Amino acid sequence: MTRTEERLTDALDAVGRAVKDHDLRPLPDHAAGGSRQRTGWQRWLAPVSAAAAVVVIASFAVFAAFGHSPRPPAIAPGRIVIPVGGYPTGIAVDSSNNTAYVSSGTDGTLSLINVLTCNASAVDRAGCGHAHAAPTGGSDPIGVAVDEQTHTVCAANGSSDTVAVINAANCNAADTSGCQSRPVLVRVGAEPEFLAVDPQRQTPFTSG
Amino acid sequence: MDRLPLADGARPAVNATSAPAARDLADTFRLHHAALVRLAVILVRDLPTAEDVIQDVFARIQARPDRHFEPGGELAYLRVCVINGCRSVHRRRALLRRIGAGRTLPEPLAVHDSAEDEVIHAEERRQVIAALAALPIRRREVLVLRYYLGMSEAQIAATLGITQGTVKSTAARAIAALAKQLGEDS
Repeated sequence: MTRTEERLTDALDAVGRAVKDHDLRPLPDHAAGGSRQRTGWQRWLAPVSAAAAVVVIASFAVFAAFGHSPRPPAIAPGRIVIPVGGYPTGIAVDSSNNTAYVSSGTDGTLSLINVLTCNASAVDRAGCGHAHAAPTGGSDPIGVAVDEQTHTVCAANGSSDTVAVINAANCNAADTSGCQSRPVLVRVGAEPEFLAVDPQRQTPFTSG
Repeated sequence: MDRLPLADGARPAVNATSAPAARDLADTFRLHHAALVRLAVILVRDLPTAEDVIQDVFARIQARPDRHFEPGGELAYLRVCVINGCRSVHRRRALLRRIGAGRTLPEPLAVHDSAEDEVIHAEERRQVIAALAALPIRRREVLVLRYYLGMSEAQIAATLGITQGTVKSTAARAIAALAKQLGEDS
């Protein structure tokens, strides 16, 4: 064993020894679903990034309404925060089916938001409370792109080196019947992140 | 499956999968919880994140109790889950750095012993761990499986889903890169 290998072995052992059993967070008996807890950077990062990625409808809409009309605003100033899956990153809107697709990195899903019942001008925000989740068939979905002409949603699975192709015709806010089936997966280069669709050629492109 | 819990801070036995199978995967997970956390800590470099990785793995196992495994393959499967979870952490961190939020990342776990005479060794270890962290993910994983878990090339190949030849060449390049960063002859 070389000097480097000896040092590496020693250092790795030291890291292992630094983690004491009594310091470890106990596992919950029923950890499935949303009952699990996060600690450390994820505890605050997730809500912060969620707040950034979900639809945040700020008071500028109200001010815009004031600018064009003397009527009082229909909604109070503020923002609407829509709960979605963990670590949301990408978002794309298919206006043809009134659905916003938000990628949820830690859940491996796309959250579907009905923009008809959850938007800046909606008085009834019933649609903001729950977002349907559609699996992307891979890990760490990041970027999302929509081709409205073909009703296709593409999501880059960053850790699976695939792009999920989802049929938006039967996986949207109004019709989720096709959301639970495994999407078509296209293998791409390592670690795809973001996507764009060329509407002329109906071709998605990914960066990684 | 080795049913004996690992001693506090003990190096996990790589041949633990040869013992009788545990009652189910969740039991196996609980049995090796601490060892899996240590593996995750080495890969992601901080305890809270490592525990998040472990908890996510556990949650997924709980959510799919019908999953079947080859007898004795549970621990190997769990290690793969943990490694994949750690890869996801690195992916998200890389994304954070790219968008300029890298300063929000947690501080790495301190690598030191409490005894004062370990101070010098602790500094040397920090250098090694920092050099290891600078390696690409695949190289880092190979070195951790080889030099922390003591896996053979065949076991590493099976765990990471790559060929033994790739394991050998990756390990050689990784050690050479590590030695270069540490100013040593590999």
